[in-house]
Amino acid sequence: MAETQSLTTAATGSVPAPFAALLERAPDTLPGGRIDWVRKAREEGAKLFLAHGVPTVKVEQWKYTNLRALLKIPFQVADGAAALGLTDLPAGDALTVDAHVLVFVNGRFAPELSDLEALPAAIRVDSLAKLLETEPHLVEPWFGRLADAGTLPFAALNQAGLLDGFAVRVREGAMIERPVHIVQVSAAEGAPTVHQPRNLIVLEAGASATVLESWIGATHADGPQTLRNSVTEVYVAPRANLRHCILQNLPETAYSIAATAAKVEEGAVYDSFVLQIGGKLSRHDLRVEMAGEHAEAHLNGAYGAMGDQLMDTTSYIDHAVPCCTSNEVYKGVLADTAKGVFQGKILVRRPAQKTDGNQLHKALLLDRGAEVNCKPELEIYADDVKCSHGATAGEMDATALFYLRSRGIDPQTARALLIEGFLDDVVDRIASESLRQAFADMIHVWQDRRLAAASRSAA
Amino acid sequence: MAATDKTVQTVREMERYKYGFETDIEVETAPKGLNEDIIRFISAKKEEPEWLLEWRLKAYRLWLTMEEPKWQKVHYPPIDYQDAYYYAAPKKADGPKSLDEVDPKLLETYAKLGIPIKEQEILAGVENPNVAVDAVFDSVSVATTYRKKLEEKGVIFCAISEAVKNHPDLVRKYLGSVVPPSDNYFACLNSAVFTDGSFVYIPKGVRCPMELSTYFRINQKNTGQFERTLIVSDDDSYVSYLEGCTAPQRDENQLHAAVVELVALENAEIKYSTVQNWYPGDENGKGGVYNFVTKRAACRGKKSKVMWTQVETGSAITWKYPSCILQGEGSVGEFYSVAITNNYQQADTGTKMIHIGKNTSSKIVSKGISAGHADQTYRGLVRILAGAEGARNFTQCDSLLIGDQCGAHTVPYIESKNPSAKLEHEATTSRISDDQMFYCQSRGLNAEEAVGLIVNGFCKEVLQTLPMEFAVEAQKLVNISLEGSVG
Repeated sequence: MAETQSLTTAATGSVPAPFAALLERAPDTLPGGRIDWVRKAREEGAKLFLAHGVPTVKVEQWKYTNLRALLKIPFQVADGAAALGLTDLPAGDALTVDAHVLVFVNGRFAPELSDLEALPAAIRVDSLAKLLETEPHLVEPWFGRLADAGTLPFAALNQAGLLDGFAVRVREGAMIERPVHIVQVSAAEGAPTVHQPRNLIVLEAGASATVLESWIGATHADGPQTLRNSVTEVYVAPRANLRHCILQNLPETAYSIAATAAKVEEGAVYDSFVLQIGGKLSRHDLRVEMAGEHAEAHLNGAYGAMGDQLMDTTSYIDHAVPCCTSNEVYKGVLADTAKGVFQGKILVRRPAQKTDGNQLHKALLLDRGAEVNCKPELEIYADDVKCSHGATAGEMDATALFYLRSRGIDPQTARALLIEGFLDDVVDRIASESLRQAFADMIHVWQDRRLAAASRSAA
Repeated sequence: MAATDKTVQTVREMERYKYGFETDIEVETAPKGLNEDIIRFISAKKEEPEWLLEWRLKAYRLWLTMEEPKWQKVHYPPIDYQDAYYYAAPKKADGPKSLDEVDPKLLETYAKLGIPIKEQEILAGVENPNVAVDAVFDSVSVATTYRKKLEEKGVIFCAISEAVKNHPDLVRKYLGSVVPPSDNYFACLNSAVFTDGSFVYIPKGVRCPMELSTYFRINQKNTGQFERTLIVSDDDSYVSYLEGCTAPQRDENQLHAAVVELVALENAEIKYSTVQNWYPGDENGKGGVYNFVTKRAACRGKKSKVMWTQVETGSAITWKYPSCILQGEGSVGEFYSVAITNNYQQADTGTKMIHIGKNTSSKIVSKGISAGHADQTYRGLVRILAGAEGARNFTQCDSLLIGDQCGAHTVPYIESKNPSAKLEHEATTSRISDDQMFYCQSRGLNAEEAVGLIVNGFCKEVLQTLPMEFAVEAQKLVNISLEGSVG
């Protein structure tokens, strides 16, 4: 008893008031509050978060991402769309692609902004809050099982403050052609707010689908800050094939801490692409467990940071069984005094013979003051494997720039072209052409933003 | 089946540590344990000046407040620092004036190890010897050869305790300037209790006429070995320093926490080569040396260069990161490493390259071979500070796994704060392919020879950087270390 108490007091010292408030909410009134396991999960999350505290740079996994600034902001729990009177979405921020669009504002489902009608019967998209009230048994087998609150402090916080999020379920063997696009809006009025979407994607055996996520904001540049702390658990059953693309295009006032945890079963494919171009500080924890033989994971991503943005991708690929393949390519462009972080770990456990695991991170530093920190990591216990990682960092190739200049292209365009070329390489890894285009467009948006900021500061 | 049995038999025979003998010499030992009195005792024994005693005590008091690091990927039972002797020196009246005065038993030990002091200076009487040996026998230098020849050039090569007496200004100026006592737990302990080691000073414009070499040898039972090596290479000088180690077989683990500091001034070059072959413990992971070493070089002058080469085959646990602080403009740091772990050995090794000056460059080539139940980690840091305009780094670390019970890990940290810096890092993990084995065996090599050949090829890039004397020994060592890993 004495021990627990001392742990709590010691830990609450490092948990700032707004987070402590998140942990204290009365559970019965919340979705699923009367269900035993939901209540337990919330309590467990609170307990674990208190034990973790908010990670400092002394915690190895957070070595390069300092959350000090975040702790000073008096966040309040955010309201949904209706309460905010949000009737329209900002145009051009989300991905532009033909898809079934569902909108979540501050993690809560906004049916009035969504379009569920054309959704095929083989796919269900629900709000998690609703599912917890009506069919909690559909959530229970996955909830908290993939995103480990024991090692992810913010997943613990998310679990403690469980409210709402999306839940996608694709029936066995169903091939869903048209992507499902989940637009997630962070909005705040008046005071800074925090919201914690909790999402679930389940593909049953042999199913195939594309899930897109756009994380955007509805607050303008000088509005109050928002903190988005999301957890997405992804289960890809045997032989299923999930394409999962995320666009993080939050406003400059937004902080984003996200965890995506996937379990990939036998013969299944998890193909993910993440583009980060927004937010003040954004951290993405990507965890993939290769749980069945011949499973494949493709984790690709790109980021463009400017100003004093910080973008952090921390991935962890766990090869637990033989004969799996994982490929990871991340590329980042850093302008001004932006900071990029990439920490990628591949773990090959003793039984995971015949593993093929490759990882590459490349960073392009545009300006003095930009910084990149990279830590690719291999931990290998099986001998018949092929694993590699590579990392590079540097500036733009002067010869390439000279070549373009010698063809009469002005320096600004030349630089933009080379940045585009640098990132295209990884965007090209997206299989669908329309999606590739949608992401290429977003990269253009970022380039324009960067040029506009540059000309502003020049003027 | 018969073949397997035979291999097992061979392994048993081969695995017995070649250098596992112990010389029985009267030893003057400080009482077991560690406290300020012990440190005063060591200092008094060494007839050290007051400032050094103060330095030691300050380090000791700091050490008491520090915690033993736990982040490294090695496992060992907690070390009882009070259960070790911190001072053991072979008994002697005055310092030996010549090799004649050296205890013949010591010379016998060296003969067994193949150290050519006697052979070269007394028996053979070679006129132009190539290697000078400052032999360390349980912490105290007992014989130094060729000092005369070095003296002619103005090179100082002696035991650090001697340097404290004869060149106090130099020692005081540079001791702890690269690895301060506060650096880490083991360096701090070393600062408090170091007993001996080598001191090298190469004056301006001198190219050291021979390769300097120290053979370390841990002998006294239960004695931690705390060497302190300091090499200062003044402007436009060059020195190549060899360090090689073997230790007698024993069951209790021995702690070895050395500190090596290198200082390269303008245009100076230091080449530091290590072959580490301490007792790795038996086939079941019992015994063996704990090798927790801090090695760091400061490239202070313009265009200075430091090259670390290491062949690590021994020790139950190796934990070291020979590093370079590249401060001088255009300075160069290089790190070449072969680490072989077999049976239950553990190694967490790598390097740190801190780029501070403009146009600094560094190259890291690390080859790790893990066999049996061994675990090995490459851990490295390349840091480019904002002022390191035009810095360049190339890193390559390859791991080879032999057998399915071992592990190989790579943990590089790459940090760049300057856009004009170019960094490349590459790491691969693989095993010896069946094709390679089949090819070699079809040419009449047996499995063990084939593995030796392939592994030597795998390490070639590193072994080539060793001085001749070591390269031959190292190649043999690679083969010996891997014996019993296939079959």
